[in-house]
Amino acid sequence: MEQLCPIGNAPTSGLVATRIFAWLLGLPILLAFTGVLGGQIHQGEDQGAAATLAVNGPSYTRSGVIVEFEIHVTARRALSNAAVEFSGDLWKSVTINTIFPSPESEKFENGTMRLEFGALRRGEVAQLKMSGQINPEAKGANAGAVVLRDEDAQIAAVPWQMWIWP
Amino acid sequence: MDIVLRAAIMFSFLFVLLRMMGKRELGDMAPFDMILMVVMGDLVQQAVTHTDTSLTGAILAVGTFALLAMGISWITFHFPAMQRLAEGKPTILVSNGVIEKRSLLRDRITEEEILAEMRLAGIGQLGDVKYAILETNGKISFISESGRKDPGNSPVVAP
Repeated sequence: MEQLCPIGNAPTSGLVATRIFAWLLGLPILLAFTGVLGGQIHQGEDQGAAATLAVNGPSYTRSGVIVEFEIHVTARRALSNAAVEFSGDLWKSVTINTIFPSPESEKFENGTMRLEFGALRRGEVAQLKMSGQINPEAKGANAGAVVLRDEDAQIAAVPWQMWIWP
Repeated sequence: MDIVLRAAIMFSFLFVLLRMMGKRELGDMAPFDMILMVVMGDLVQQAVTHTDTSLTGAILAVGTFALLAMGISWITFHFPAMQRLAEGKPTILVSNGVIEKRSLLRDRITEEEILAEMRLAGIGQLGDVKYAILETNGKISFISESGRKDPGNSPVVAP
């Protein structure tokens, strides 16, 4: 019985511990509402002289989560062969499920994934949607860039980092 | 953020659902009730985490559930009027040896169940019961004519 708290003389350390515990529980939830633990879409944009490149996708995500990227290209002048390139590191430990619309050609060389969509008229808007799933073992930063090219000439580039929480 | 919102919505739904299911379902789980709870847990997990296999997601989901549970405890402690809303109120099932049939109907308890609980509490006759009360945790407590309260966990008395 001597191990039990005496009646009317309970130590305040238990109350303090409960409050600390509540704050420890609440802290990650507060962090989650800022978006740094995933679940929010971010936007990056580069307005080049020949075209605007906009990227919508997650900058923070978690392993196992299905992610979606949307690429918008607005041509300010005619492009003979618009190509969107992704740094290979951006898709490290990510399984790509869908690329829509299908590119005219696709290749992977020098650590870069290149998707070619052919000619774009002046003022024409092209959209590309990619979805995939973060593999369970993924963690840390997947960093790289999304680059718009006309043939081999760089038109616009949006650096992108996707932080993956384990 | 998405996982916190989904966890909060599921917590609220489960809270209302368990209140609606009644106290007795929690206090005395039949095998089917147990299976139902396990299946519900699995379905809730899918709704809250989706394909998320991360530790971060699990911490956020479990943390949200725990924090909301602590929040309800805090509210019922500081605002006693809310306790009835959150936990319900005890129901008198037997009064001065007479079974309150409306209470039984409301909480879906049969007379046989009350008699079985009486025997478990070491009470042989209904006339010996001053009050039988269905507590908010689903257990039935008995107050005998002498005023002794039995929580309903006494061993079975040999005939």
